[in-house]
Amino acid sequence: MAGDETLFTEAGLRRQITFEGLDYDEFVRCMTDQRTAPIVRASLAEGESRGVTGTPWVFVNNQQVDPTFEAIEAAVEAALEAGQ
Amino acid sequence: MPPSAFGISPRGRGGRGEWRDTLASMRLLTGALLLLACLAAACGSGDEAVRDTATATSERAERPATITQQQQTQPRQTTVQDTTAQEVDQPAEPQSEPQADQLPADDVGVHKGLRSERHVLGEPDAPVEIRYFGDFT
Repeated sequence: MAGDETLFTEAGLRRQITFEGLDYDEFVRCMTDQRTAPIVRASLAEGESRGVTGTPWVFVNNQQVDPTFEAIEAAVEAALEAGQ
Repeated sequence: MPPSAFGISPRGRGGRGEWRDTLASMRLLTGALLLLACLAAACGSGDEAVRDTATATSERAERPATITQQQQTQPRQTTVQDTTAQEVDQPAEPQSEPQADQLPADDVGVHKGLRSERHVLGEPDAPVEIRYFGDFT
């Protein structure tokens, strides 16, 4: 990201979107019509209220765990034992 | 000049000359007719060749137009015939990937005014909730 400062220009986006095999005009329509903006803003607000400061960020039964398979597995096992 | 001086009477010589002239004329006429017949045959076969080429060209020109018309009139109804024609004449379009809202979900509803999806793996009553925040969720 830091190496390509032109990525978030219109030309850079067009180049990248086309490279990914997507329709650039449809991409711009989705980006500008704001249809999903409320969902994104709500998710952002929920993350901020939970103290999320970065991604990926994982909670298991409202307890933050490292976003690794081993940590999540251990948290799930612990939750299952606590529930029995 | 006496008639017997050359052994040929002027009339007889003249008659033989006319016969030879007539024979030569007939040969020329026959040759000309044969030449015309050959030319006519050659031109006839050439017309057919041109007509065949024109027919083939027009068929090739009409076929993509027909497919285009089918796509315009039936943009979302792909039939087996259309698919076959596209495979022959046009590269197949990449299949669209399933949309996010088409992913299998066990429970899709609204939670706090927002769309909520709950995917259950394994025991449905397991008291474990995993909440994930990512860049693209």
